[in-house]
Amino acid sequence: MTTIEYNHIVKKAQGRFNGGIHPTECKTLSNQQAIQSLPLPNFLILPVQQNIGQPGEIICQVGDEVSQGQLLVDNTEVFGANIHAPLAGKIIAIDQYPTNHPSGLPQTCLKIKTAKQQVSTELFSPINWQQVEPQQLLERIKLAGIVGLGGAAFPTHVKLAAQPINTLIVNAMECEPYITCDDRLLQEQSQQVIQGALISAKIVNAKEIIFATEDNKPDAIKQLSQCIKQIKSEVTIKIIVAPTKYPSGGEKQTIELVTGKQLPKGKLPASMGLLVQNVATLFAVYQAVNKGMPLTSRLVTLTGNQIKTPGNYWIPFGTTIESIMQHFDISDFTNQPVVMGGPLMGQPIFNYQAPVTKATNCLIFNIAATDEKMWLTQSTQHQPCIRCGECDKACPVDLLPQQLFWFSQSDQWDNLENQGLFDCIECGACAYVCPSEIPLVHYYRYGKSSIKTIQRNHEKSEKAKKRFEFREMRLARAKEERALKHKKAAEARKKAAQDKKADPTGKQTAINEALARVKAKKSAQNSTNPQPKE
Amino acid sequence: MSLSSPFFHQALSTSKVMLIVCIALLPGIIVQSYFFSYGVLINVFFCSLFAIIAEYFVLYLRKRKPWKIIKDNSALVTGILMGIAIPPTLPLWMSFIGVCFAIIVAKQLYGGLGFNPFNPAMVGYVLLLISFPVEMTSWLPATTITPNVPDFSDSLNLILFSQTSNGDDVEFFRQLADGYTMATPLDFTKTQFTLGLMTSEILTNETLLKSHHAWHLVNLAFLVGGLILLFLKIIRWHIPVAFLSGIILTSYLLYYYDPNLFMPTSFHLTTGATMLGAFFIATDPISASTTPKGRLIYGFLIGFLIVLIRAFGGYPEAVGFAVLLLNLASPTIDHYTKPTIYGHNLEEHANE
Amino acid sequence: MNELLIATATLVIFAFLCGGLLGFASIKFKVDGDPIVEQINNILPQTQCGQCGYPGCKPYAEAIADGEKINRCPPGGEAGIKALAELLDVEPLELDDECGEEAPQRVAYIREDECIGCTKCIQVCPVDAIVGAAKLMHTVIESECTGCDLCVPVCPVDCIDMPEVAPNINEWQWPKPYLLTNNNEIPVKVIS
Repeated sequence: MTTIEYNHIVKKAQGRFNGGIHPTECKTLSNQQAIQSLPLPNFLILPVQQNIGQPGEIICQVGDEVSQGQLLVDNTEVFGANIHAPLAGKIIAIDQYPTNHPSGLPQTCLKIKTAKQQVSTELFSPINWQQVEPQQLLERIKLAGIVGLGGAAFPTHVKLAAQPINTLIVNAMECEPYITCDDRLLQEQSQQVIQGALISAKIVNAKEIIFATEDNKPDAIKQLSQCIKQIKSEVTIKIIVAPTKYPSGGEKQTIELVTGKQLPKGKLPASMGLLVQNVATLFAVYQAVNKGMPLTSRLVTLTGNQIKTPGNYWIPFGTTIESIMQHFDISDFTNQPVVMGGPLMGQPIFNYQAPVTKATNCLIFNIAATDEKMWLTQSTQHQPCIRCGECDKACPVDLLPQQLFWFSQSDQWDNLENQGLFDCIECGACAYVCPSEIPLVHYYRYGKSSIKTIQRNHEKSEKAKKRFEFREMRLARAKEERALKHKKAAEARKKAAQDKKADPTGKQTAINEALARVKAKKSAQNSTNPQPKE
Repeated sequence: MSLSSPFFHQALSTSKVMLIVCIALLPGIIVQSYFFSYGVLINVFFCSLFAIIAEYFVLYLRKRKPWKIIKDNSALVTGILMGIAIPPTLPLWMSFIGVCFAIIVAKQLYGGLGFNPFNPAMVGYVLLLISFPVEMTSWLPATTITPNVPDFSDSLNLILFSQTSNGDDVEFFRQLADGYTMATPLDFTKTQFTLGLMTSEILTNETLLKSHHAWHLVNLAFLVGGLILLFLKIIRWHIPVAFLSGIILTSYLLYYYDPNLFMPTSFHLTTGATMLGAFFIATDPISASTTPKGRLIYGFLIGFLIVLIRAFGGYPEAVGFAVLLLNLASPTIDHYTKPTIYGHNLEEHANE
Repeated sequence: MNELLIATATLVIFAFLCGGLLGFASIKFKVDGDPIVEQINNILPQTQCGQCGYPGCKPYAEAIADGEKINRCPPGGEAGIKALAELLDVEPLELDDECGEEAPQRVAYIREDECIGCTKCIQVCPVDAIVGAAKLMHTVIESECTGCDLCVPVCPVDCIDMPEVAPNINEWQWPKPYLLTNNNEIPVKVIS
């Protein structure tokens, strides 16, 4: 066991956050082995949208032969990220396929039959980052389709456009049980991650880089500090080590641990001069800039008691869970959820056709033993809430989960919002400690999505109301105009009739008109011959 | 239904929590039955039985799965608390009424565990206290000071038929050697004050001191149980600490104001149901305030009210009333003591 | 006797005084809140479908304010009736099946090659969600359509379908966790 040496580079975290839990870590299952690769999958199912925000434009067709790294989805939206071919092959379908979305609803995906021969091609030319303008680096990151690989999949080039930034925080907390991909990446590729951090720091003009990590990763810390010592740079690089506590990897919690200050409500970290980036994201930045490689694969922790050789593997996006299961020969795993992500915030995947995407950092294939209490197998049965308060002790954002639950189960949306529902980060600490085994986070998600639906419906009905009212107004105006026209026409008719009555043959009118003409002529003559003045 | 995260859980269930509370009550029950004979045990047994039967009955009517829900052990806790709170010779039909009222009206009619706004045990207790004030204040003298100690069959007969096989009633057992009828220390001091005696005179009364000694030890035993709960993190420190400091501060101020008219702090802390209330009754999380600050206010005000009611009220004991009054206030307390959420109230400092 | 008279007189005078004061206050301090019709209209779903028997949501809102029953709006459904009942402080009623049933959200779709361009549907659409001109093909602006069904009966060639709106991943809603114990419901028998 390596111990952590504290010195001028490695420091203890000064801040702390309230709440938090200490679940069993289960990290040694997967962090003892070196990073490996899997054999080529037969086909890929590549979702067209893997970032938050809008989907992009598909610039390929069924039947196209694509090479590795070729741009397939061009996304020019504000929060868009490009998607490249993870492997060379042929596009055999563009259709709706099940993905990892909690609804189980299908999404548009490209199905790619992978070629037997993979030729590695460079899509971009490598850049020497020290000699170019930040703008060029930012452009490269955008082209490479890099998004936050910690799980949120927020486009990195948008995040790096924030100014002014003083400190770049590299989030290497990796606080969830089982996940070790960042830990392993730091152990084996720390040089590259630091380069990626320096590139990011150059883009945002940061003066300081802080690697924030937990004290359960001594090997990674040792490796990292040795690399930092060798680097000569104007940017100061430090490692801050926090005591292991879940969820210290939450962005808000990391900021509080590193700076000792809370991020004000509704503000971005940039308002404090901070930028938080994930380790894997920085590695992707390095790959894109120094190697000219777009983001087409990522490091995924494959673990759980059903995998004989748990560890971290490079997996191209679009690889289906089924093909991974075939490789590891997992056969007696039916109707069990594969957990995508960690056991506290991950998604259950029942449909094994779902692919690995940019947001997938971990896959857990686990069947809980019957006497094991650690894994919840069913969340449908729970006892009533006794308001014991264990959850508010565990909440990292100081909410009152018992109150949120109370208002959510009785659909009291206003009260729910007043209790700070939208401040909840869904970390699951409350449900972890709940003695009644209430699926609390599910209740919050239900509440959040219900409130959003109500808002959406309200907006929709407001729009319909406006359009209806406008139509009413338009119809009323048209009616009025018609009525006016009728009235005018009627009046004209009436007048004509009257005139006709007074002068049946129209003689009088002709005489009158002639008189008027004479009169007009006379007045015109008067004005041309002005009378002499006295 | 689809599963949703988290999939991890620490293995501590509500049933277990309730069971641990029951176990932590044991030291208190043992000491109390040592000083007040078998009646305590008989009452605890019957009250628990009634509680479970009543719970089963209502759950059956409500078309729930009774055995599954009874396993949460909450009815058991209510039954045991009732059994401890009532006098050891209370006729069985009275405790039956009390327990049934507690479970059926105060708990299940509101929706069962988790939905009751009041502490069921205290509702049952207060109902009995108001309906049968004489029987409910007829505590036996401690076995250490009386020649007439009821044995097991006496206790059972007193509870079932209100008299023993020899024809002795409760009053017989309440008499001391000198013919005095014994009351609890709280009751005794209340009577003495109305007779115009001063604190110093009351405190030198031999019988009171002896009787008080028994209550000392009973309270100590409940304190031990409470500390076990604290140590096991079943309850949190807020309510007991605030409760006891409420008692200490209020009684100290009163005693300081006039040492002749009010009992000293040490008396309040070690008599009646003080420790039972502080660690087992006020800490019932369902009816208590649920915010960290709110718990402090809630506990403190209970302690404050207990001393006030003991000093000025018509009834000698006050834990039940004080707890119920604060149960009533806890939603309001919760409303005004919401903790500051992460990052809130920082907006004005945002651009520092 | 005299005392009785005095007491009665005092009370009567006092009652009149108070009554007068209250009456004055109600005129002087009248709260110009949202008129009730507006509030009702905000709860109604604005599909303008006319299933309630009124030509639009606003007219129905006006009718409710005048005492019409609150259970005549199928698109609003149970939730809408509940909200109305709360606003008006009346008992919630079952949805009147005369008016129709609560159905999932639909949207009109014109099979364009069959459309003859008669403009009849354009005229009846309450939210102007159909575009087109005489003798030219019409089409539905999907985002504006409320799914009111009004265009279906008027089409002479039956080329309008009302498919259900397909679930959308961005609008997907988490289901409510099933509460095993159902402890939040106390069984109540409705005595009618």
